[in-house]
Amino acid sequence: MSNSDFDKTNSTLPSTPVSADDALLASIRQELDRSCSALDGQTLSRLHRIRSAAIERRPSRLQAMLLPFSGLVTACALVVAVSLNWNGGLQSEPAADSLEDIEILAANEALDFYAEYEFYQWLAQE
Amino acid sequence: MASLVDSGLLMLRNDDGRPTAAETVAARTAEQQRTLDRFLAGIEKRAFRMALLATSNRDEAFDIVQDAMLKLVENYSSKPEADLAPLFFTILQSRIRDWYRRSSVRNRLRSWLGNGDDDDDVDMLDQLPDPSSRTPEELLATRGGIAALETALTRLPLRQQQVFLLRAWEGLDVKQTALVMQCAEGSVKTHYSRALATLREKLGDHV
Repeated sequence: MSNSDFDKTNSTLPSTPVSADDALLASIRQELDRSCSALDGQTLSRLHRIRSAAIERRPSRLQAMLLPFSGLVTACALVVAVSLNWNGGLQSEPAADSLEDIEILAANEALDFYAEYEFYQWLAQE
Repeated sequence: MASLVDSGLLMLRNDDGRPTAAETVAARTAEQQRTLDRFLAGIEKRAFRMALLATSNRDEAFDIVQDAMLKLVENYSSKPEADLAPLFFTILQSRIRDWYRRSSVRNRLRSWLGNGDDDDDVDMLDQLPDPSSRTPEELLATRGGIAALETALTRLPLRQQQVFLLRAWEGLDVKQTALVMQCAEGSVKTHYSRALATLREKLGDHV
């Protein structure tokens, strides 16, 4: 019989009376076990490879432990990115300044007037 | 990893020589891997035989076993060892059912498309008897008990076949088999009874 890790003490095989059925079942189990023992090397090798691949693919406990950290890092990065973008949205004055500069440069007044603009402002207040 | 431990993100090294949390986790992981490997090594041949009896196709059987192993390892590796077998067989049966559904659809399509062919164009090779279609009794005479048993099992309806294997070979009780096969306990009893009757009829005292 198999060396399965099942707890077979709890498992009740079919409750037929002791009869030819029991002998038949025993023979069937024996034949099936024998068929497993008779598997060729190629099949066994392939099964071994499949099992090894499955075990290696197993997510390690350490990786699982690091998952919350990676989530935390991602969340922090997201917060930083959003806040930078938010501040960038508020600091739109340079763009406005640039537009103002273009207006000045496009105007017909002499540039000296704008250079002395603050002086004229002060003079007007006096 | 060491840097994480050193930086204190994981539990720090104990001064009294006891294993650190990271070392404990690593040891537990290694133990779980050994347990899984031992379990799968003990069950892989029978799983393959069950899948092979269901599909009659080696590659399909390998695929089914591989899927079942991967699924078990990915999702249930932390389960107690006693729970692994029922879980594994539940996954295996699920994969076998998936295969059966796909095959049924494929065969229906094939037969539907085949209806459009010219019926007069009969390939004589198709008329030759298939060696694999010999009766269990004939196989018994030529190749012994296992061939007869394989043939008889292969000819059982899929559910009867798998219920019989789970009950008679794996030693699952009715309740466990019902859980694995996702059917009622009454169905398990019926399937098993019918399978046994058929096998008794086909094999008799030959096996």
